[in-house]
Amino acid sequence: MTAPTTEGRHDAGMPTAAMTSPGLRAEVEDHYISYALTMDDKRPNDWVALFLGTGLYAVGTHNNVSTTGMWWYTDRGPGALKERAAYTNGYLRHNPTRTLHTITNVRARETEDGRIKAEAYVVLYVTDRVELSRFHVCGRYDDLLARTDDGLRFVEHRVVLDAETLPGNMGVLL
Amino acid sequence: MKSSPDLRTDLATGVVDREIYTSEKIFALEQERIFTRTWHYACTTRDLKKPGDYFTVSIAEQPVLVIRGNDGEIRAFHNACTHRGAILTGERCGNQGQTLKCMYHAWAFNLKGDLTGVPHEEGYGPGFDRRAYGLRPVHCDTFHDLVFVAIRPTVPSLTDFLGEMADHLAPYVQGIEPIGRNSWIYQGNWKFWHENFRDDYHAEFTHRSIRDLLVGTTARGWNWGAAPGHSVLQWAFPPLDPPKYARALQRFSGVDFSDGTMPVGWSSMLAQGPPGPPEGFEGGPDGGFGGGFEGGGPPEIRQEVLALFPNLDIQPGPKDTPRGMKAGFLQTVTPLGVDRTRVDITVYSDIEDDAAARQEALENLADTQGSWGKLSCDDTEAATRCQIGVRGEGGPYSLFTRGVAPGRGGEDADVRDEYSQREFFRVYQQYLQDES
Repeated sequence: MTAPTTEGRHDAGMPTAAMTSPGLRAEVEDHYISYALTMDDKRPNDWVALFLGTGLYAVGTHNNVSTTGMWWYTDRGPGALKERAAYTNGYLRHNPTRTLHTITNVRARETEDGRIKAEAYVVLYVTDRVELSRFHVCGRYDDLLARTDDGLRFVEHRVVLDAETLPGNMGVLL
Repeated sequence: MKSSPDLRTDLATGVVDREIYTSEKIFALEQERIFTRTWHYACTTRDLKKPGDYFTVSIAEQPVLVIRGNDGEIRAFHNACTHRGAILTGERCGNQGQTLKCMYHAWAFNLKGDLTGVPHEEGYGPGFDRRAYGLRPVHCDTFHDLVFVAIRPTVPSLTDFLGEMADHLAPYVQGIEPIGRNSWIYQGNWKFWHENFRDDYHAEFTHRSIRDLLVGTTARGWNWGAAPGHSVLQWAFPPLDPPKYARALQRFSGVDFSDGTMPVGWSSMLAQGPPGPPEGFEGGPDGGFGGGFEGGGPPEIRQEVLALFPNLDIQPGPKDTPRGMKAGFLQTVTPLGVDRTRVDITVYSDIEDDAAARQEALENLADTQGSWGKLSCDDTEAATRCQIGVRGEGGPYSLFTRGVAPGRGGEDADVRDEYSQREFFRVYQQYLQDES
């Protein structure tokens, strides 16, 4: 591996916040609010439903993504997405942990093929049985969205975390 | 010199005094008598391709820097300026060019560790001798593509330290290159993680996916102790049962698989076809995986996990797949405290792999590992729970006594035996009680 570089940054071509139209930002923010609630309310089937059937969900750290392209996992399609939802909603052996996802700093633009390129920040807090509620991880979303009759859906939902070292329990959705 | 601990059991018997997981005194002894005296994996030779390429590690809480010189040699030094002690680099890896220069007072060292620059040197007087202030070297050696370092090794060579593992490890670590890296911290003693890589008793219970995804269990396999202190786990995966797996996923999570959607399994393995024993595979020349261990090997071994004392785990890909031995991961555990540990994982691939093959290897290998992984996430939870439990008075000893046949494994043994853990504790105890 080589040292991190700025090559492959995921914000290329994104508008600044001031350039994102208020209507588009509200539309995308509503989608993210719904998305956060599926995770924090433990509704895994609804989480899966916010992806297109061919949707992609990938999570990695900034250092790896910007150098080697290493995503810890890349889930493609309904089988992988359902499996991820299951693992993070009771199948893994972690004690129950409540989560609170805060999604902010939304930027978005429409692409030439009618989709939406969106970017946002995410901060995850967790609360377990005995410790105080605490910050867990943070990062950014680098997403491609499609409009459907049921609202926006993820074509690609990529999460790049700002972390070199991770907590012991990353069995969470982001 | 600190005195040896008063252990209540002979750890080599597999009856392990739980104080080794909770005692601050023992933790300090481990750092002094084990971590400074043993060889530690630092990086691969391909992390250090060019002169000036460096990699940093922490051994026994001591910062160490490994760097390639202009002569091609790989050397290791204490990562501390000889002037005031500031670390010369705080980065994990990178390239230093031709000079290691301290940011504090700009003392400069060449790639051989010689002190080459002292600003306003005349102020130290005429007797100042740069030769006395070169970087302090750390023992450094390579085993094929792996770079090892040792603060004060108790054996003269890395080969002696690897012992029975050397021949077995060699095929896995030639022609490999790192392609991804990550780290995580869990709240538990470092030995809980390393033990886990020597433990095939837990797999069918800790990991719901192993129980649910496979027909039967991974009972077919072996657990070997390899002197001094190392181990090899081997097993053959039974066939897969995706419908059973989907039903279990739904039962524990509520995720609806009733529409017939099939999960992908670990590392998208279901999408790649069932990984039953390869047709026509008859094992190595001795009927197993190679020499050096008691007994033979099963004829259809697909998967191995190697553990090197005290803190390196290596899990190559299944031997009989196209990528086979040339992709896998290395994990080191670094004690941060008696109940806090960092794990560093390096995913590697064949140097011949193209970009697409590397990406596939990354996705497949990272999927199960790490604190996010479909398997390792469970292991982290187990380590954390063990740490909480051993603090109390729930019992003075932990048991590693499975496998009643004498020796270090063999044809009468099975995968759930604990020969390799006992081999670890045998050597662990020797180091811990060595007051020399």
